[in-house]
Amino acid sequence: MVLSNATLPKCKDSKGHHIKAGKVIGRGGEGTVYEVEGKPGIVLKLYHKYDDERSKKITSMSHMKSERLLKYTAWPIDTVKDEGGKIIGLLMPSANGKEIHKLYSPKNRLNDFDNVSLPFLIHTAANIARSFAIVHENGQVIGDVNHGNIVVANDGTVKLIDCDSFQINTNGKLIFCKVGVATHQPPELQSKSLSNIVRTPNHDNFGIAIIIFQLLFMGRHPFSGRYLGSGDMPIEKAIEQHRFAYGKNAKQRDMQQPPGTLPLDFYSKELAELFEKAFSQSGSNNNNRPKATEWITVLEKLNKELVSCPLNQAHTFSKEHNNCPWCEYEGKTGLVLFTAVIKSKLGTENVFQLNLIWKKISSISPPYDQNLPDPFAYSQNPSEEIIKIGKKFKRKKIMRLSVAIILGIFSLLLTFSGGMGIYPIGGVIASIVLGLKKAKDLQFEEIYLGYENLNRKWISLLERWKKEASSDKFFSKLAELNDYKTKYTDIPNMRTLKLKQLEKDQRNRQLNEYLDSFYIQSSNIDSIGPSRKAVLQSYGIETARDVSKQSVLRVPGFGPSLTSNLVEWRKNIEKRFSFDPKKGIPKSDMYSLEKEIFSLKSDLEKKLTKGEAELIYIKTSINTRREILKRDADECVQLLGKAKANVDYLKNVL
Amino acid sequence: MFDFTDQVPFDGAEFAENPEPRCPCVLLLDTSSSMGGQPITELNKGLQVFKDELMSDHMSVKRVELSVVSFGPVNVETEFQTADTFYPPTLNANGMTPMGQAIEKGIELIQQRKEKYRENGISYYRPWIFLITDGAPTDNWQKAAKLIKDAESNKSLMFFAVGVQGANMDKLKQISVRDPLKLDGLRFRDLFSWLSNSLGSVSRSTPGDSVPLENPVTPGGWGMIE
Ligand SMILES: Nc1ncnc2c1ncn2[C@@H]1O[C@H](COP(=O)(O)OP(=O)(O)OP(=O)(O)O)[C@@H](O)[C@H]1O
Ligand SMILES: [Mg+2]
Repeated sequence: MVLSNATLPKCKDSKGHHIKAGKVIGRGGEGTVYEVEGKPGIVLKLYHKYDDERSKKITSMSHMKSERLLKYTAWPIDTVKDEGGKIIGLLMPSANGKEIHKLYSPKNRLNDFDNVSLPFLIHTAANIARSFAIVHENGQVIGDVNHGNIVVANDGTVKLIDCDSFQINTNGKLIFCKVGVATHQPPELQSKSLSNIVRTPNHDNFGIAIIIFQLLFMGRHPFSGRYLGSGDMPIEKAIEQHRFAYGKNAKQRDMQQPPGTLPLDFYSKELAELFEKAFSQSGSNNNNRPKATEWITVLEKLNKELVSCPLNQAHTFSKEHNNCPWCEYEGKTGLVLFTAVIKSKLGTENVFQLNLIWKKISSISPPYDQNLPDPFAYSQNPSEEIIKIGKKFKRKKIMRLSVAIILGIFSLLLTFSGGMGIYPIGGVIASIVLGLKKAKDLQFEEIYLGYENLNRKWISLLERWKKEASSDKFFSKLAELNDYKTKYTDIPNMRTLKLKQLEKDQRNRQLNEYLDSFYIQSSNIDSIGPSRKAVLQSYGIETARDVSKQSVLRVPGFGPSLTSNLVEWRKNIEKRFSFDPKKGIPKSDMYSLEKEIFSLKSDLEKKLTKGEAELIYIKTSINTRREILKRDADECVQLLGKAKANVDYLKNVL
Repeated sequence: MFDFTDQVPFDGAEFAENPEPRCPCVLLLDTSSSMGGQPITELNKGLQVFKDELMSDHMSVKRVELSVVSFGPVNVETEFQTADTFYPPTLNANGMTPMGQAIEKGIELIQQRKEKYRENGISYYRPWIFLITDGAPTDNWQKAAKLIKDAESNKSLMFFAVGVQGANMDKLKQISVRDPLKLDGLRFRDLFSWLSNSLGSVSRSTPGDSVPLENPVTPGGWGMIE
């Protein structure tokens, strides 16, 4: 249950200023995080329960804050107290973005991030390394490195959150980090209670290696692999026993990397060595896992050495590969791992050419018209096995019939003879007949259920096809682009219209100024003497500009005739007005018009330029989806057609 | 220079797209004729809630995999999949209560799924079987009970049994190692909401850890012990 804000305690920061909680942003095991009213960029964490040690910890932390720390972490900036002065929470900078697991997971990332390319992943990995380096340079330890405590923004900048769980060193005295997610804890800490253990940067360096591995190896965990021994091999046990599935010692430790995953040296030899070092036994024994700063160097170097795929803008890879490995990977798995990086062609030397762009867009053919096969298009023969069963059914049917006839004769006899002794025999025969029928029904039922299951699978495939593989997305994007094109060609017209409007406005403005210079007070108007003028003035009617039929009629004592006198007076003045075009449209108005036109224009240019790549991307992903679904469908159709033939056949003989 | 160490297996794409560790859960749902009417309607609504709640948790949606098996007669309604591609079946009530056979089927499905995980190098949490019934087994259940005891004792499975009004709780006690729970009225939705939360906490723990679950047997909770 979420507490409504009305029931929240009154909060003050350490200087006694009131802090007002806004919307809830997130909720964790220890506290709830809120926006702060009137303070964008700052958030408030209120704890579920009071904890004395933690209060001391966040107080010291808030004294240690520095610009460098705040750039990479949601470090506490201040403590928050209730009215009695008890610490109930903290203030920290807000972290905008998504949790790191949404980026390393191919399932989420294209939806959750604007642009995902290999350089983006590497760049983010390097930023994470920077954040670790800064915490370590301050003498602190993160402790609980995990998939949820690193937040990544759309530009690849990162912030560490949940900093109140860090291990903090205040003047040599340690306040412990008592938690840890085991998938990111080093071997030497596995299956140990964390509440009383000194954490070191070398422990964090295991966690960062895991996170970087997950980012670069498409979400795989380095210790999740095929275990060749017997029994289960959960991740934390694998970590404890140094079973790095991608390492050179993997085989020795009965591990094999999962099928279809990237080899460890996929990116570079140097990177592979860092992983080996981080996950090796000596890394924990000798306290020498690669430091955050080492990762930064290697990752930055890697990012400089990437080359682009000639076929797919979204693909970049290490130059040691001859062919684009991503084309191969995506082709094999049917997954789309990266978003097309859309380079805007709006440089200064590159003039936007609508015709050229449109030609490119309109030459993109829609995804092939393709339908799923019809499972009942041609009738298949029932399988041998079913025919055998059918024959058995038939034999039994004849038997049953004959038994029934015998039974009939018996009952006839019974009727005529009136003998009682035959009843039990009739009962026995009847139960045999029914029993035979029941066994048969059960067998049929089982076959029929199999058919129904396939049918259901087929229907869900059809639904997925409609949902995931239809060309609608392509055509709606195309329509959207067409709309931009129309708007773009209409820009000159629009500019003319807006200019006319400005001119009209200008004329009105000059007229109003002119009318404003004629005071009722100093004019001679029929039947309007000083006292009536005073009444008008008290109603806010002072110059010719203020005069209108409506405004005057509202004034007490002014009937139609007095009103029309005033309106006539105004009309006569208006007749003498002439517009001075030389005064022109004010510069500021002109400027904002041109600015509006310019931003509309460049916005449309951007959208159209991006449109080409987007449309291709949509088309490719539709086609890929189709291929995958088609594979499943073909298999299902084959089985379903057969199952239907079987069921039909059996129904006939039943 | 570039060479995948292995062919990508045909069904490997789902694990390439989502290599997160999995928590497989089989729902064994009694669809015998006594469940007809209000109970089956509420059960169907409960399944919808289950999907929605799993979807709203960003770790569960990647880690929890469901398979639904109905019994009355035993039928695999949906094979293992994550909540985003799980479309709850609409169950109809008719038939007997072959609970023993259903449990054996559930265990078999889990064995097969674990094999898939192993082949593909995917880690997994201890699988769950969650049985809901309003009756008593009409078939031989002793073998199923033995399988469950063995699996529980070597920690390769968690089995939960929930009895709806009319269920034979004594039989359930003989089958399940954990105390079976009695559902309060027809609060299937609360039950599935609890189940989703519990699977959520499991899927945020580490494979192999034991996770304390919220106790449904509290005032206001959906469960009772008889
Ligand atoms: N600085 C921040 N800016 C924006 N959102 C934040 C920030 N800090 C935390 N959150 C959100 O609030 C949620 C809970 O925060 P946090 O992890 O600090 O709480 P917690 O109770 O300590 O959690 P845990 O039990 O995981 O330690 C986070 O998952 C995140 O969504
Ligand atoms: Mg915390």
